[in-house]
Amino acid sequence: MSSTAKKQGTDLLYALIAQAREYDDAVLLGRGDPDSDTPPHIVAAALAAIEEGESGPTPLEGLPELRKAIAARVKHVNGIKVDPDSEVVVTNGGQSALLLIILAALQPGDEIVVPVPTYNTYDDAIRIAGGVKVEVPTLVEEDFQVDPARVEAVLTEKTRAILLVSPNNPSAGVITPDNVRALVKLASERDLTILADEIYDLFLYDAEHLSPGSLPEGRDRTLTLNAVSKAYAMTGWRLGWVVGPENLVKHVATLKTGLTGPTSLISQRAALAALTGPQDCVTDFRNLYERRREIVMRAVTEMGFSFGQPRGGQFLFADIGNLGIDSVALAQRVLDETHVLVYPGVAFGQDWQSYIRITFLQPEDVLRDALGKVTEVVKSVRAGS
Amino acid sequence: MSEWYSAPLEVPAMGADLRGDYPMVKVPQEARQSAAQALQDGQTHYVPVPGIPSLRDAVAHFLGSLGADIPGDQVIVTGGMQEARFLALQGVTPLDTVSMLAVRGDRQARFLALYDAVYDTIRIAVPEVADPGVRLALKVRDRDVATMPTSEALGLLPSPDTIQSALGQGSNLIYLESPSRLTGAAYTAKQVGQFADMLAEYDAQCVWDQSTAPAVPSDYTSLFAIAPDRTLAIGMLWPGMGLSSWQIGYIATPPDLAEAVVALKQVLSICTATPAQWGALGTARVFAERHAALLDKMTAARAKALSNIDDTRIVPGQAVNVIAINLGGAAAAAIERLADHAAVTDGNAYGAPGVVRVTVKPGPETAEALGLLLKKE
Repeated sequence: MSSTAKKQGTDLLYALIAQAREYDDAVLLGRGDPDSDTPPHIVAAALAAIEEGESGPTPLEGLPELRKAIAARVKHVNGIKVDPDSEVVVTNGGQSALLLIILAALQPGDEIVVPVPTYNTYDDAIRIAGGVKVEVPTLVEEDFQVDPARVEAVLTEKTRAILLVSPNNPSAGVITPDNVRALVKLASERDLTILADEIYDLFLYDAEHLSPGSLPEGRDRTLTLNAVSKAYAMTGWRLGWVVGPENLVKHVATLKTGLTGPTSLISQRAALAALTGPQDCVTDFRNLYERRREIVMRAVTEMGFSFGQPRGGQFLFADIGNLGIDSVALAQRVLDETHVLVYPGVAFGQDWQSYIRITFLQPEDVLRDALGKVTEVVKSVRAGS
Repeated sequence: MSEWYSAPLEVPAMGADLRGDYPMVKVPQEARQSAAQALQDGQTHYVPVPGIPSLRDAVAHFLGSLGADIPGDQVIVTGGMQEARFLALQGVTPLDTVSMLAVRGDRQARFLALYDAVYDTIRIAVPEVADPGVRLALKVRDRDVATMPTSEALGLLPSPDTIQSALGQGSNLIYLESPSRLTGAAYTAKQVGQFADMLAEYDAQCVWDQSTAPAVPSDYTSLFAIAPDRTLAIGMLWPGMGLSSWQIGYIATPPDLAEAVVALKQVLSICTATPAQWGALGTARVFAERHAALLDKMTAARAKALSNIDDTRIVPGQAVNVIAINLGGAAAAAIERLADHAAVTDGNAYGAPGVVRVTVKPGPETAEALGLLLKKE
């Protein structure tokens, strides 16, 4: 039995990644790392900052000019109005922002409502905070939509927060504006904090994204995280942010002081260039992913699997339940036989054993070829070989 | 909240910033070139969680100069000192424990070694005087800690007897700085040997902050070298090289803890920023030589600054990067008196009210600051 079989969650994913790295011809359709390099104008800004040789401490909350740019971005893209001096904190990537908002919202024993499936490290973060995860199912036949009635049904006196990841990872579902309004209303009535992960908000397909923090009832109770990683192909730079009302953001900043300290200056300068420079690259990426999305959807259909319509993000979440083997077995066999990496759904929770996540993050010809190989493996499995 | 991490104070053009662990210098050309080349080569993606292998190896090589013989696999690169400090203070246990529990069918087992068991079984003791980041890291998860009093005779480090007492009272994770971040005091080889024996006797572990160890000109002993199976060593990359704003540090772990620390690092930040890592790698190649030159200059500047001073208020310290002075109730007024000329560190943030720390700069600034601080009003 493969050593990966005993692993779970985050550990499982990293074990598969480690195995894939051993192959020179590996095709990675698992991890959310855009295949494009960071656009040249952003790299140029970083190179200029590097050449300046600036050293010495930087503000914990981030460079003032970067916070101003973030405030402008969230106003323009998300309709969220924040004061850059007191309602924005720069973080060491979206992952760091994720842990910070969880720690800021929860005390040990507090419950947090989490629509599932969700990004695997939320489980870890909630555990670190000592919180209790209360799951609300989303269904493939509903395109993984978050139903406010299901959320309301699980609320208790211990509930302190609702996590809304939209566009969702791994399901690619996007919460409809009506449902966002209903969820914000619910949170307001029950005095709950909303934690909004919007890291894929610039990648929408036939969908409209409404930020909870943009609504009057949501503004003073929502912490919103985002990052430059996905939008600008800057995963290696580790630069994200949290915005929200001053009292909550101040708590995030305090936690950041203990968790990581300030953020790397070079990454901040690069992020500033990303946010204030030409945005053509984002449009180009979005159009590229939309074309690739079509390729993946066609291939998965040919494999005989159903999936939620990927309305946002950079991947698709497919139900392989009719195949007769679970997602770990399929992912392992695909990796072993074809050197293509897809993510088993069980990495996002035990209830998703019969799902796989496939990203759009390879050139079209590579994508077609890799998916063709996966299709052949699926056919072999169906044929019993 | 930001103290040292705030934007630098406004100081007059002729003023000096004497607040850092080391004098502020420009980022070295080797760091800039290495980072720039890496970016031009497309190194903008995720990298392995514990760090790029060549940098881990470089850190392991550096640790060899402190007497530790470990492979790069036992080094985790962090996004700065504070991340290293936070990760090291979580009291992780070997993930083998998790595997065993997982085989038993316990679905939550993978979390025990990382999170739950920590609360129940780890009892942390920290010095009364320590880098402010220590308390801040412990506050994130609201940890209860025992405080170890410090000894003025030992440069505001806890004495061996104090540490033994903490262990005897049930602490099993001790945080120590050597050299002290505030005073530059470092433990002797004999004392470090005693700590190693104590850790074994009490089945305890130690987080050993050795960030400024290179600033001790001779006879430095690292606990990580003596008790590598019970010590997590943390440090900055690279002290004195001007990379503080790039935010890069390390943790060196016992072999059975590396995987657990990496697992936590994944949740904290996935990986450390790639430009910073490549910059640190470029600097690694010249660190030994550059730091040796800096050490000579700091040694000379420190000796000169102290040469005409016979003042019992100077706190003893072996590291030459800082000078600490105990001014007691006069500290605040002295710092203010100095403000037009230089910025220095108020020891209050380190748990030592009345103590003032001055960075040793190769130049007249340190001596001038010292003179003004010690001046009788």
